[in-house]
Amino acid sequence: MARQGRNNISEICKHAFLWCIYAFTFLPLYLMLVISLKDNQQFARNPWLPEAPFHWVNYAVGWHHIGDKIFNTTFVAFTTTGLALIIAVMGAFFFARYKMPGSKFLFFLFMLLMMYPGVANMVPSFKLMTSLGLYNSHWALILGGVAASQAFTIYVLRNFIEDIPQDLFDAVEIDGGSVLHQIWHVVVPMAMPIIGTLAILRIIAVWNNFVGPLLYLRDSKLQVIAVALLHLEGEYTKNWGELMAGYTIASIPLIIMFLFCMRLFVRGLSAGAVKG
Amino acid sequence: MAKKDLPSNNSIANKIGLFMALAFYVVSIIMVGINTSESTGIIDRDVETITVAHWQLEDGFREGFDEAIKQYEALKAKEGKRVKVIQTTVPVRGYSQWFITQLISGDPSDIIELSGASRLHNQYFVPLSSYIARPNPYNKGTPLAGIPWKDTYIDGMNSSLDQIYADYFGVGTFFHVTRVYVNKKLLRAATGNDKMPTTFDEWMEDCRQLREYGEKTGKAIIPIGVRGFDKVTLKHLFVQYFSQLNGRLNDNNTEFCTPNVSVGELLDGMSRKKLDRNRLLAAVDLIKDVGKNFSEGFTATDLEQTKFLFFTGNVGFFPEGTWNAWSMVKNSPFEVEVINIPVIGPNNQHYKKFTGQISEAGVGVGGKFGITKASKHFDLALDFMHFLTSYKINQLTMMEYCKWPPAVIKAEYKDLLKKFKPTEGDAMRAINPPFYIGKKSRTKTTEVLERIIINDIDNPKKYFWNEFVKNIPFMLQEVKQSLDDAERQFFNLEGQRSCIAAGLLKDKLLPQKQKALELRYSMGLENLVERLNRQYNSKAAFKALKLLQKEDADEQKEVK
Amino acid sequence: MAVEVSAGKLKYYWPVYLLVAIPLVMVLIFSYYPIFNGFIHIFYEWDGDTVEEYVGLGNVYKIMHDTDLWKSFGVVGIFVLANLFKMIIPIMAAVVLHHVINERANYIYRIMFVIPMVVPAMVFFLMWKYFYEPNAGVLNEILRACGVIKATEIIQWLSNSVLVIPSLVFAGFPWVGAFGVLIYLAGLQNIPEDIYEAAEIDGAGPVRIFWKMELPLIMTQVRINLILMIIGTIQQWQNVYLFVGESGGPNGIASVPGLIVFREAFSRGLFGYGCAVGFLLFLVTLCLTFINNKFVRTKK
Repeated sequence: MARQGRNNISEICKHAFLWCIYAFTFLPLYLMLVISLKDNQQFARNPWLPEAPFHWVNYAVGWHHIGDKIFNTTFVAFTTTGLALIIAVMGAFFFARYKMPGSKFLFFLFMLLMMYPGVANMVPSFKLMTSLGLYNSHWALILGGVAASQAFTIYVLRNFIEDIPQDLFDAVEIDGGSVLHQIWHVVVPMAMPIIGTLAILRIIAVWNNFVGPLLYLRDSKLQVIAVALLHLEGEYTKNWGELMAGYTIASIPLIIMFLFCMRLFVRGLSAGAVKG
Repeated sequence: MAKKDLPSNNSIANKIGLFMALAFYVVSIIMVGINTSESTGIIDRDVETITVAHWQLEDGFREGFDEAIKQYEALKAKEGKRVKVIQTTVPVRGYSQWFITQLISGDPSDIIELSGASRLHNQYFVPLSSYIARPNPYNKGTPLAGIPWKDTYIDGMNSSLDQIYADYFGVGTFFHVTRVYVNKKLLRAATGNDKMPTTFDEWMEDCRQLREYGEKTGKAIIPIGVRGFDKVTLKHLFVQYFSQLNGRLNDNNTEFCTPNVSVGELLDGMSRKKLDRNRLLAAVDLIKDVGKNFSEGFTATDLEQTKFLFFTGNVGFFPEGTWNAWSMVKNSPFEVEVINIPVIGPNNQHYKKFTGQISEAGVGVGGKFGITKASKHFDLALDFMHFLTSYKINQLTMMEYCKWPPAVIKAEYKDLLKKFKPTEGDAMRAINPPFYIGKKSRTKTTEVLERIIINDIDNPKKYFWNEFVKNIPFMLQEVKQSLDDAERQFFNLEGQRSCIAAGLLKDKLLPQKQKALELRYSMGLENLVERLNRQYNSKAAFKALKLLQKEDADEQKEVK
Repeated sequence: MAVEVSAGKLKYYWPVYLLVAIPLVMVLIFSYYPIFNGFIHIFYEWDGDTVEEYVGLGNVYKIMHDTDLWKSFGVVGIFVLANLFKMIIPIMAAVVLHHVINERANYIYRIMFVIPMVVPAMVFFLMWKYFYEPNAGVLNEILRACGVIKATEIIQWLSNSVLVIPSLVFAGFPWVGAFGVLIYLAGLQNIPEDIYEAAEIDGAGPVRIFWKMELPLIMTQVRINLILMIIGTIQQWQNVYLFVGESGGPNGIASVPGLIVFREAFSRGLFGYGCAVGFLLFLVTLCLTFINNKFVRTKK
């Protein structure tokens, strides 16, 4: 609920302050877009303002470098998120709806993981993945990502499921619904916002992760956007326009995805934030 | 509580979004499936695929390889074999980690550019010594036909010989020398003629005229451009002039498999006063003179900066490696001349000590590619390496595409590349100054040279010597480190690895007693000699450094 | 509420365990097994592959004498302090945003805060790396245009031992990343209207309202963020790697412990030592978590 302001000056100050912050936050993105249409001479002259002629060819070159990496990244991100959520929902349901012998201990096992730093596991995880024959395969990233996300996801989902009124579950049970039935017809619809938010968070996290792909993916054909951008930046002869075009292309998929689910996301975030 | 509940028509947007996301996901699965099968060759069973991995991202290198690959695949297709070669690269910054993880995983690329420690090469790469004595089949019909593979190289593949294991684990593809790039237009304007300096004094004279020209016209002229930030240029010039004055010391070489005398032996000679100290330090005077021509604040200018200054016509001479040659010549709006680093001429005060120009014959060949033991297509990989390093293809990839000097002998150096031809004749080999051992001490030594230049220190030789003595603790650390390494290599992990690599050990831990025995059988006598050599040199260096320290301390006491 | 199942009824209810079986198995294989494996390998010198040598406490001694490692903890300390300051702007932004009257603007502003979260973090990193570029970079260009440095001078933001750590700290200005702002905002929105009216009646100015009312009420979120931030910063090494590579900048001065784990293991092949440093990080995190639980009470 927005507050009633005292006077116009304070309003202007607030807007100004926010716009200041936006200016600095969006400056990198602005520059990225402007430079992506320049060639090296235009860039050397003045990187700040758009200058005709616009070199759309930069995007063609950028796509050539980054294009198929988008598919790799999408595959890894969606598969990880999908599997992680399905498995976590089941686990959270277990902890929320049943108090079995050993429940506490099992829950403790999951919570303990939230505290363990990922850095410490880098080395032995690598050994494990290579022993399983998963080197140079996306499944190393997917399975690792699923396992790593369980702790947090189960924790959040459990809190949510615990708050779902008992009668909804009873209704399904009376109709003879099995556990899976209950989950599908009660939990999923009720928890949609939080599941959606968790999904989006997980997708963004996987999208941004570069350490896993750096270690596990050998071939550039299989590589992921994050690492591909890093390699692109490591080139000796930098064609800035093409480089920035590559960055822009890498940013587009998530922005598109976000445009469609932004309300869902903001709503879920608020709901989740309240739960702490 | 947000009052931003959505009206129902937005759920349609949501549904469309969801549908599009799913569709995109399905497409991704298909694309990934295709890519994975390409890499692992699952679908096309009769196509043999090999992967070549390296870090050379320079202009033209990958394109040259692509062309070679195209020709190779076509050649094989004509013979009825379907092959596919995939080139994959990583920037040099991430290379060492990529390299190690590949090898450890058990699923590395078939051909990889070598980097890192010898033990990795021995453990994971196929020894090639049995192959390099036979002629390269792809040299038929060229001037190199019938010559053993290793003799087709300008250094006889000496730089590929791993001294610790006395074997060859990779074959090189190019080499590099350092030249001086000259802004011809600027030089003409300053000196009035086109004559290029061939001796040190001529060079200094040209630089003086450049400085005068700069003062006259008010332009910011830098006579000698410098890669100051990573200290490369200064290091190189120092080694150059040190070698020109002390080259004969290599005649005392006793080390196995290298043509250079070791730093340990030099330090030994220094501490026992068997070497002429003045002669060893003479290069410092020369560096001080050269340094007068550097720009102000040269310690901060990096390569890109100096190149930029060169292109804008502010730099007269720029000593730099041939790996940058093409971009230097291509991007300069004026004529660029390439000359060798000027030698010490008869007019110079140090001429009596001059032992000759540095020979570049047998300069190390780089870009060494090895074949991994885990590769399932050894024959194809070897065949491809033969192809890559054959007379025609090596020149194609290196000289035509990359404008780099190729590794093969009797290459036809044309146009720009003529200037890169290695100087030969009866000149001396370069020699490593005995004032530093590892990275830290080398950096400190270069910093001393920088200070001599910046602060215009009188009696630079004395100053340099004093700083060298102050530097000795760092050198001692480094020597101790290499001694430790040598010892470990001798008995512990290193020995075990050799044994394991030779297939001698089934269990991981071996009782102390058996170790030495197994070692002797698996490593061969040459390796023992080499390892002992390294231990000896490190111990000699250690003793010598201590002696020098003590001597200096005694001198200080006398003065007091 | 939840179904209580005692040991006796287990015969009938045991299939329920299957629900948790899959997550459990995943976690045991991919998280716990590496943890134990890693712990065991602390006592070995390991090349990552088949060769390992039992060195007992050798790695521990190496850690105790590794000055670079202790210096890296110092660097991490600097980052933690810096991140503390960096929390201020998001809080301020959230409060200001909360007080914007125009509903439409409010909504747009909130969306605008989410966009930086959606753009891949890598792009932001690389853009800031471009800012710091010595020759073509924006920062140096601005300084040249303002005449602070000469036209041909360059400042090596990331290669100068003195400047590299401040540059790393400053990157990402104004630090209104992702969650901070939106979570604080959500917390602020939960403050009931009546409290504000009460404050107004009391004649409290906006600053007092902030200090006495809003800040304490969003303290839970701030605290949670604080803990997550500290624990996260200690482990974080990706930003250093992205800006200056695995060497950790000039003379490795900007190395952090996580970077050291990565470097020692994957670039130098000392996997046993990598495990040891990793375990050390775990112990540090454990300590911090205990301190947090003891001295900081979080209200639900």
